[in-house]
Amino acid sequence: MGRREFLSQHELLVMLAVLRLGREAYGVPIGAEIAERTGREMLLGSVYATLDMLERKGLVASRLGEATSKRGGRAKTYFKLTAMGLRELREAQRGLQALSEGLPELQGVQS
Amino acid sequence: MRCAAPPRLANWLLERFGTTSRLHSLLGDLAEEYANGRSRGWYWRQALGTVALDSVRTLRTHAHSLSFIVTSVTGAKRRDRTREDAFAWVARVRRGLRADEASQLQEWLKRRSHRECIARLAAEGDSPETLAVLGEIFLINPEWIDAPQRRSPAINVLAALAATFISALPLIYTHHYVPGLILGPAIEGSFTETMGTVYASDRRTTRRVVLADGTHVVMNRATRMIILYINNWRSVLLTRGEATFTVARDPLRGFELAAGGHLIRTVAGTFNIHLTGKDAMELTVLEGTVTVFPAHASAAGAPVALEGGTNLPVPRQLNARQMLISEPGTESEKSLSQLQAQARIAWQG
Repeated sequence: MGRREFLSQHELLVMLAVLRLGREAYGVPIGAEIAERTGREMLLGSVYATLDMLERKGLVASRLGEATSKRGGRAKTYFKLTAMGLRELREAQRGLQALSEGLPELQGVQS
Repeated sequence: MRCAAPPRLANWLLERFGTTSRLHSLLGDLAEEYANGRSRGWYWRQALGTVALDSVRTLRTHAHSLSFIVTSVTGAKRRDRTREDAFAWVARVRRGLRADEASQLQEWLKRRSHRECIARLAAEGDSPETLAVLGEIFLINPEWIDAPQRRSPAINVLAALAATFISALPLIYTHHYVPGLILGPAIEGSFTETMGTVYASDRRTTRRVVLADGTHVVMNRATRMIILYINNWRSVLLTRGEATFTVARDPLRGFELAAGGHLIRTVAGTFNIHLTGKDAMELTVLEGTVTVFPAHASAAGAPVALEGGTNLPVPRQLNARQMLISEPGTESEKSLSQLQAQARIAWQG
């Protein structure tokens, strides 16, 4: 990225889900992972739009997977974080921790 | 597992109005989930929600163009006048601006409509060098370049005349396209996101890039460059840092690099260029021959005012293992041993 940009909340959620899923990160499981862990349903279209954006920024990379009859012959697209994506994620996490540290209002909220 | 096919109308809507580049995979995901037991209602929510999201995104992206279309319904005469003026300015920029013209152009460009008009004209005329000069003066919106307007017949005649005039001046151009020289220092970012592909390396790592024509670039830390390959031109603008270029031979397209107020041209070869200051650079030729057009007018700090027929500055030819150190108004060159030449690029590791 030529200019420093901060990650949006959607981008953070999607990147974390991609990281959690490892080699199985494609649209459906990414959406399901986010729903399961945050209780927030994301449209699949929104997941893909976010992934598009992240790929343009060089934060995730994609590869085409298998096409099955169940999918109407359409291939899956798997995603993984790039080194730059991982670095951005770490920096975002550090920033969040630094900001939330020592705030009594947030005590006991973390799971 | 369900056997029925997903709602065809929903698929059609997605295929027709969805804009995500992963539409194929999205449709596959939806089909897979539907086959796994998701309801038709879920399918429709996903399809309509995605279409709505994509439409909002598209509208946001093109809001600027839409507002331009609305305003262009009125004021046709004023627009034609603006375009006539813009044609004249494009031709002058091609020729090289005189001192008084430079300030007049900047005054004329204060109006947004004028900036847009001249940028469109330069794009329509397939004139990357003019766009590059304009990009140094003001920020060019990419949509001005992507969506050319229809010309009126009168404007077509003017365009043909301007094109004839412009085509008679290629030699003059070669000595005038020196970013930062004609109209003051380059505004970083103006030429870039609008027109070419931007590559940047961060402060901690070097970066290797292979361009579309096979040219290899090794970028030192904290380096930034913009690549613009259009038709017969392979143009690069180095705005920060240091890089080594191994230029692939292309008989149909010359390679030129603008940096530190200089224009560097080569057919093929390897050279390292280091921007050492605002208008200063250090060029080391490692292989082949490059031609450097010096910043002949920058010593006086005045805009270039060369007319056709004026003696043009003599470019310098540098061959392998030569280095040119240049600062505003001064150029010096020396020969290097192979070891010294290699030491110049030791940063590559």
